[in-house]
Amino acid sequence: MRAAGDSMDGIARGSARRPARSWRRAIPQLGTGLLGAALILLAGGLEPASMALAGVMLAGAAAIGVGASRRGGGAGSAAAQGAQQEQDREEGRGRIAALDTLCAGVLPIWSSQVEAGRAQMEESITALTGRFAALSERLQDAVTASESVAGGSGAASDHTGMVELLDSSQREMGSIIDSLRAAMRSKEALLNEMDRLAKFTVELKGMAAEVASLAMETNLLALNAAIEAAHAGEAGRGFAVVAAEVRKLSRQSGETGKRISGSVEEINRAIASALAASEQSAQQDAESVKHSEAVIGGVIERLHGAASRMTESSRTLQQTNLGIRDEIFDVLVSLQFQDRVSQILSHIRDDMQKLEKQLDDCRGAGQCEAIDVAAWLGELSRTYTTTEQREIHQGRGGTKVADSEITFF
Amino acid sequence: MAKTIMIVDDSASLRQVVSIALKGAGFEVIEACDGQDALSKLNGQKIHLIISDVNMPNMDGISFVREAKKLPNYKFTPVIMLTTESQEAKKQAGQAAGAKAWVVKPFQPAQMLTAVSKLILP
Repeated sequence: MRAAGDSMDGIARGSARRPARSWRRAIPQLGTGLLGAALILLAGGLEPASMALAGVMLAGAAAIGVGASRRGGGAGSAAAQGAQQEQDREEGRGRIAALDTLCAGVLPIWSSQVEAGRAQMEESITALTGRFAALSERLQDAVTASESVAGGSGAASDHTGMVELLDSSQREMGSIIDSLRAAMRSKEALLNEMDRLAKFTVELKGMAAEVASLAMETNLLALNAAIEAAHAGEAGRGFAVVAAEVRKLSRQSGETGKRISGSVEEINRAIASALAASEQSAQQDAESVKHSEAVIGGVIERLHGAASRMTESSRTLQQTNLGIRDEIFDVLVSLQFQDRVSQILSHIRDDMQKLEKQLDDCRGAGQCEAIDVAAWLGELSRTYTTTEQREIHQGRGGTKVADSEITFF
Repeated sequence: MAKTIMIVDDSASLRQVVSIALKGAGFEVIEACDGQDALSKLNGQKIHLIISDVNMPNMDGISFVREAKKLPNYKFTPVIMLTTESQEAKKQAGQAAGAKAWVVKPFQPAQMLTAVSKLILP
């Protein structure tokens, strides 16, 4: 690499001393070097190693040019050698003319090829970036949607999630059970009232028995009164009629008491029967509520289990999606190489076009001014934008792209 | 309300990468493909920060920043240069034009977001 640098210095000195001839020798070498460098860059898949090789090619080409110019300058002055040298020069001029023609032919093709490669890469990478960006956005949407399903735990907790939905369903089912319990309680109150009613019938039965007893006693009294009226004779005839009426009434009272007693018995049986039926119904209701409660609890529990598995799977999916999204973003970040490579290829293309124009101008003018190769290389180096381009130019490799750096002013 | 950042770069893929990084952090993004395009989009709307490339066709990044700083609405808008250039002379030119930071490509999104949060207007 040091030798290449020295050679470049040699180009400048050599050019200054023997301008008209030496540039003609140097141009084909420089052109070949540039073209070779471009080919290496294209064939090498735009890898940094190819860039380094391309740099070496350029430097090597320049060194060969210098060698050629030095050989040209080393001619002796002996007359015996004069003719031979003249012949050599003629042959050299012929070769240079052929190389000029070759350069004129291939330079536009090569620069177009470099540009086509650069443009294709730019177009493809831009399309690729667009598709990756769309993928990344779709993954983000999937993550957001999945967060809303999981609910409560994710960033989108404002959405009603599955867990919240199940909790609210459980609360609503619970309220139905509560209503059933309330109905059971009111039924129990009714049963208590009926029980109290049954107790009243016992009292009523006692009262009916008292009525029957009073009627019997009244009948006995009326019988005694009738006996006493008979003893009184004619004077007691009226009283006997009254006593007979009283006995009649007492019998009716006794029958009424019996009927009351019978009715009370009937009512008591009916109440007891209703009470038994109600108790049975209440028991069935209690069992039914208990069963419903168990069924609802089981269903909610199973749904909770399913929801929990779904939430877990949704979280796993989220994590995977986030991981893929991050990977895609890393790929997008890596695709920034396109911008750098595109600039490097643009500079090679521009320099090829510059050389092509120079040759065109020479042909148009019929003669050529000397090319200051050092100035040419200096101008080329000023177009560089990347560190690796400058390092390649100075023969220092430049294979590694520097890490991002940030400077605050 | 989301803050707005303008990204000026002739590479569509790079604009996309920067755009995704910024949108992911909650910013709104306006894209421009060169200095001229960017100037035409500085139409008075509020822009909280500008990220610009340096080497672009039609109008390069340094000239764009210089022109943008002449506009009353964008005189104090902070600018980050995002470029492959790392030469000191170019950095100084960027600073002289009014840039507040110089980020060399390839950039790392986290690093860029740190610079943005440090410089963006309230």
